[in-house]
Amino acid sequence: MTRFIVSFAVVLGVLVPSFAFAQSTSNALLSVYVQVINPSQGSVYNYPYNTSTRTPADFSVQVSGNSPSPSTFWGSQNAVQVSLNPGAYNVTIANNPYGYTADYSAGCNNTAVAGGTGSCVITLSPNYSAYYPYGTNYPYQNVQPALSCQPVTQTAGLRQNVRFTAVGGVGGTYNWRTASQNYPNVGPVLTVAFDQTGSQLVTVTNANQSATCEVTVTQGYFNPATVTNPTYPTYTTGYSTGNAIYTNYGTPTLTPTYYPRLPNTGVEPLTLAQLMIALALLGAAVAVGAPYLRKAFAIVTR
Amino acid sequence: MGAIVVLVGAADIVSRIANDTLGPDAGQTLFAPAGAIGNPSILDVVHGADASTTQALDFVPTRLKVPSVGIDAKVDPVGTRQDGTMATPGNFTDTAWYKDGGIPGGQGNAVFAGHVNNALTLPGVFGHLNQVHLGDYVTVQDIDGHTLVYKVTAIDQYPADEAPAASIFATTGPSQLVLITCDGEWVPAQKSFDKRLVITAKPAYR
Repeated sequence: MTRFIVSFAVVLGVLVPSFAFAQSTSNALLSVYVQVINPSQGSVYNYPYNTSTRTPADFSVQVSGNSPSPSTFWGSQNAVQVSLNPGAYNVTIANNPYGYTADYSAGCNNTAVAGGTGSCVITLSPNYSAYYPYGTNYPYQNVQPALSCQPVTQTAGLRQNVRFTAVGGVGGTYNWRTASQNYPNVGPVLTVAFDQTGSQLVTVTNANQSATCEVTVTQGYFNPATVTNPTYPTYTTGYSTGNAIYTNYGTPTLTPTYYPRLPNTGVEPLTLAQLMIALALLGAAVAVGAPYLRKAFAIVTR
Repeated sequence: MGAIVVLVGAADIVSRIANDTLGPDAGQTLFAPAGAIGNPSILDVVHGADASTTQALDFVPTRLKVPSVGIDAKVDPVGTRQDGTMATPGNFTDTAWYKDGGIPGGQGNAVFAGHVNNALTLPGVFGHLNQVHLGDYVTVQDIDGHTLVYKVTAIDQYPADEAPAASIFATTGPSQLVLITCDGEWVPAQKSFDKRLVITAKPAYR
């Protein structure tokens, strides 16, 4: 839906109106992460095939659904924000992964709701058996992207849902843990609400790595409008002998998911005394106004 | 102040009388802007809510009915207030649908709220919601006359600030309708009733 907005600005002491069309915020916002796990020996394919390792930007991502924008783009571990209208959507690797197997999180094939946010994590890992016949003879070891829990810190209200995303690791099973509960094998995205105020830690484990997020839970509702998503620089880590493997890790920007508190649908009941006073005031108003109303009616009908 | 309260209540009473005597749309017709009058729906296409139907994705509710307790009300899409609570309908005869949450027939919960009373202590649109029984039907209709039929499967009461908002406003999972109103005792200091009544309904036909 498009709204027409009129605003005013003072230019050289003159009030100047300006007009603009603004898109309503009923679209859903999907964060698409692409991460690549490369073999430590270099490419999945030995000479004469590809000898360089892959980065997320080597893979083209396609989003099908209700007017996604952008609908195709190059992958990024820092997340690409896709706006789409409510409805079912599906995120896939569009080009040939060629020796890599794509693993999709649950948020890659889901239904978008108006104003909602979601995360899709695509993990590309080597497929040794696909092209290289001697793969099993080599003690290949994957270079594990460092596991992190994002956002590292955030604030939420009591019993409001908060979303955490595991970035990095080797894909597969992600186990989550809070102070009071374990959430085994829920994938790279955890949404959870907290019943206790204060600082709470959330830990995710994947293979032999673990990472921790912190959430500060406040007593009252934490207004999402005050949430500002920090941006983080992309930095380079990861290096292995034999072949230089550079992997860009960035910390994504995330919008926590919030739910409103229940509405207040009650009105203070009037006491009998208040009701009598109100009726008396109404009666007095009618009595005082009646002559004037009669006069006005006479003028109109004359 | 008292006169204003009486006038608001009077409008509500007139609206109710009009509803009772002239039909369910009369109150709306009497007080709604000209552009809002008239519902093009002529033919009710009654079917069960099914999350797998693409039709549900465009379903914007305009009317909510709970026949067993006489609820037949217009639906106003609402968002969230500054204090973080779901907004409420603009009057005592309409219901509010949380437009930033689930869509009827789609995944998750489509949440509706209505006033339990008005300033004259008369029942609001959800004033008799506490008389709903398990198995009662709830229907929701869009502007094209499509109707989704649900059946009440749970009746819960929570302390106002301890309701499980995350599950009540869930946007994933099976399609459900959730009806919310105030319940319990009025707490003057909080300007609120101390409980919330939460009715959950699941699709009647599968």
